[in-house]
Amino acid sequence: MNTRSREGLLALACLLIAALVYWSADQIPVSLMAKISAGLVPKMIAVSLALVTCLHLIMTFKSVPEAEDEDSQGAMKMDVTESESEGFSVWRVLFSSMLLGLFILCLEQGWLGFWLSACLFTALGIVLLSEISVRSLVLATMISLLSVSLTVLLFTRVFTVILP
Amino acid sequence: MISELSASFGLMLGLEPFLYILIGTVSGIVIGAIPGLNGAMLVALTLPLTYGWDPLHAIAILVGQYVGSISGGLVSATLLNIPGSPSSMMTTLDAAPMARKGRPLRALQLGIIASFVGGVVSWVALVFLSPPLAKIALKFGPHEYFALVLAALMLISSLSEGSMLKALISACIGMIVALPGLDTITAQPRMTFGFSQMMAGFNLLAVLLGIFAVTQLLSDAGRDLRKAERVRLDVKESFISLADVARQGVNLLRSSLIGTWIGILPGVGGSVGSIVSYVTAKNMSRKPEEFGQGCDEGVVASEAANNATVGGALIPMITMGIPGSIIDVILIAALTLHNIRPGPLLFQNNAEIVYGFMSTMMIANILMLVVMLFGIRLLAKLIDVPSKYLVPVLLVLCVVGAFAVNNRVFDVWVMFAFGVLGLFFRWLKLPVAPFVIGFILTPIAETNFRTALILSRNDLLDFLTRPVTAVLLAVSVVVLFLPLFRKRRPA
Repeated sequence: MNTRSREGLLALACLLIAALVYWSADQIPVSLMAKISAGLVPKMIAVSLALVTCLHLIMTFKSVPEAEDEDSQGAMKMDVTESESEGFSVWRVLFSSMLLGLFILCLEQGWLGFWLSACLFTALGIVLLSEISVRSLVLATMISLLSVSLTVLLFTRVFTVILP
Repeated sequence: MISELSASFGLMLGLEPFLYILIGTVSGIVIGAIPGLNGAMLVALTLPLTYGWDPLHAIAILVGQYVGSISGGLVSATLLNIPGSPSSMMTTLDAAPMARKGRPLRALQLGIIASFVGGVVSWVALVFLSPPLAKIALKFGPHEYFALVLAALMLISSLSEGSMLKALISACIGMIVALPGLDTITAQPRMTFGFSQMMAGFNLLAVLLGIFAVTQLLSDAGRDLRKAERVRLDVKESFISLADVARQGVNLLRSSLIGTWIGILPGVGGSVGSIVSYVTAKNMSRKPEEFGQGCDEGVVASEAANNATVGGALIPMITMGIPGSIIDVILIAALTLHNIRPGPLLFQNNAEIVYGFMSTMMIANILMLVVMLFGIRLLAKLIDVPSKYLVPVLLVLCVVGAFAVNNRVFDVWVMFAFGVLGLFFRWLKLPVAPFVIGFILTPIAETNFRTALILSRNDLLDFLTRPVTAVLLAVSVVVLFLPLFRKRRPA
């Protein structure tokens, strides 16, 4: 995605957020206790966000020449140093995020207990980030069992925290 | 003040608090040394554990981690040529070439001593500047406090890396995230969108865990750091001499003072401190051409400054409740969890906390010096731990941490959502510091703004007739419009 499209997307998202915040703040009735509504500050922030976004959009389109913009096309890379970005994989980030989301969903729905779902999440996470081999599978199983058991013990016995 | 401080040292040197400082410092050094993991993530992860602890024990471990993580980045910067933490970015320029020339121990020892000196200088500033600043801040009313927070937000945005407009966008988004929940003055529900869980707003800890820890871990999952080659520490090198350190005396002091000053500026952390100090050292050096080739001055300038930002950053946090760096935001969250409000009243109401910060910082600095000087070979081995094993394990800890505060999965979803938001921030090159500082300062700014309006009967001109408020508002306006009058910064 080139710079203009990326900044355009940012501007669109920010303007939508500003509109939503303004609309939501506008729904708040004026309290009898205070003349100043609870919606005043949200409205001020929403207007500021919209103004700054418009200014940013204008500056971006003015300062990024089209030729330079076409050169900057490339895959989605995080803000990392050059040496790190060489081996960056967006797919690993996406799959890890999805796996984390699934883990939280398991906890919310109570499909599996905390121990089992955490073990599965840790093991699958390690396998996802490693090259698949018998050794990595064995290591993933061992590390997940050990780390989750230690976490459960530490939180429930030492810190007396209730786990999901 | 001296008697309170010495009493605090006595208290923090007791077995239990001392152990917390030691655990904090060592864990900070280890996490700081591992590329990809950073201090903010560690402090955010530890925060939920401290919920039921004595506040002083919480401070002991968290400040220890803060000091340790800033120093630990030196190890991977030297041996891997990858900064372990963002604040060690400039250290890599000289420490890594020095290590590749066969003098890794010299680079590490110089860096460790510089870190210690930087820490001590900023500690002196913390001890002697905090009380008078707190006295001044005590005279502030809601008008002045609102103007101060506004000026801090503008300063953070202007000093953030990259475009100032993007930093302002980030700050506005952070401010919006702080809005949902019951209004502090009228108690009306606001922006809850029908979710009863939102009545208390977004849980502070869940947001911090998401934006610092989850974002970092998910982006670490995408990186392949295994290719980096490590310089081995099996070479025989003698300990650096006192004369070597003495030759760096001026550089050490100058860099420490720069770091302390940069630390005091709200929201500006160690990375900016080390850049400014490195550039200054290079400009003032007799042999500037040696910078980047593995010279002593470069390592000393960067490391002294980044550690000096710790004490500097604690000054506005303790005296005014304004975070000096992003880790200070988490420290404010820690105090809030213990029903302690950072700000000018902290000296009056919770003096033991203030002096606890001061004594812990000094003890952590000494521990850092000892642990790093004598445990450097062991630390060098720790940086070989691949992130593929650490990322899933630490993510489980994040889930437990977010759940533990209110015992509800909703907060875990909040953490996840902010983790993903943090990834988008990185992709869109939006700085995260203005976001978190906007998030933490908005309730203070709003309450003061509306109280001020009530006091002045909705007369906005009242803000301009008070001298301190007018000056602070003028500073905000100047900072906001300054970029229009200077050349565009290179990307």
